[in-house]
Amino acid sequence: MDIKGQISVEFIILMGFMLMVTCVVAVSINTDSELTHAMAAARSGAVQGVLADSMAVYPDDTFKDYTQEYPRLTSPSGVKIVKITYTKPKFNSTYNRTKIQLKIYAAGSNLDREEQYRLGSRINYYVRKSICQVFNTQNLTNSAFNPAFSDNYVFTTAGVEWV
Amino acid sequence: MIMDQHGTISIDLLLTTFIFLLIMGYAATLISDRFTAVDQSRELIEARSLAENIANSINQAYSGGNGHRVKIKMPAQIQHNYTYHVQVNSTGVLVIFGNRMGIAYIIPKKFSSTYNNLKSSEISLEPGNEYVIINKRDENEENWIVILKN
Repeated sequence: MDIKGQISVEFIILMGFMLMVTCVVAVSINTDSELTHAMAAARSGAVQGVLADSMAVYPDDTFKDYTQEYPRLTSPSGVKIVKITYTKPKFNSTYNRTKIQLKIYAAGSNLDREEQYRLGSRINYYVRKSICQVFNTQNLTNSAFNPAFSDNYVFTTAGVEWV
Repeated sequence: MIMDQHGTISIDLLLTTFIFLLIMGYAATLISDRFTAVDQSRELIEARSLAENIANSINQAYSGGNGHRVKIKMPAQIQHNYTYHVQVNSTGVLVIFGNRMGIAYIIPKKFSSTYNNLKSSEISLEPGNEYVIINKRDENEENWIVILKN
């Protein structure tokens, strides 16, 4: 920009090019950042689910059910998360969002399949709940937070795999 | 230079600020979610810890034999804002707070809330009170756990 208030053509081209690059980068960063935060929320939720399983302090209905059917689950159990993976993102026209299925691998001792299923369901519930809370999308889904929505993604959870 | 004397601002700063705000937007909700999760986790841990401590004291009094006494002090609240109550019976120590429940299992099966007239009963422990847990042997050589408010 010179002292007469004129702008060079090179500067205008440079600015235009920068603007285009910025827009493309911004969209890409936004999408990647969203996925990163969703996965962070999923990890946070999984830890919370594991803690709920480990402490064996449940809502009263669940507690009464477990006391009758699965008394082993009313005692603290040693559950830990091994890893969390997700399927390749795929656009889903029903939800008009990219769908991702999360899969959680957990380890726990002395549990039979039914007990593992119940503890795994709780972990998955907290994972979906955490995602919905981070993106403030509780009103878009059902009481089980299934599926969990973010702005551009929809998350479901596969059954927890016990290793 | 961030801002020169003509009042222009560099495109680098604009871009950086934009990206920073974008990341902070998600990070703020994530951090808030983490804090909530930590609070909820503390509630569960405190409830479990309370149940296990009481169960441990009862087991200690039971295994100590006739006349063994253990004092326990109940916390006023769980996680500073939850009132709670505890029930002790032959099944175990049941902690109830909000709409949640947790149980810790115990060895003894006979409980009484009176010392002189031993009578099977479910005993409620209230927040903030101090209790003494006593092992008492009856005339049939059976050991009872008596829990009295101190």
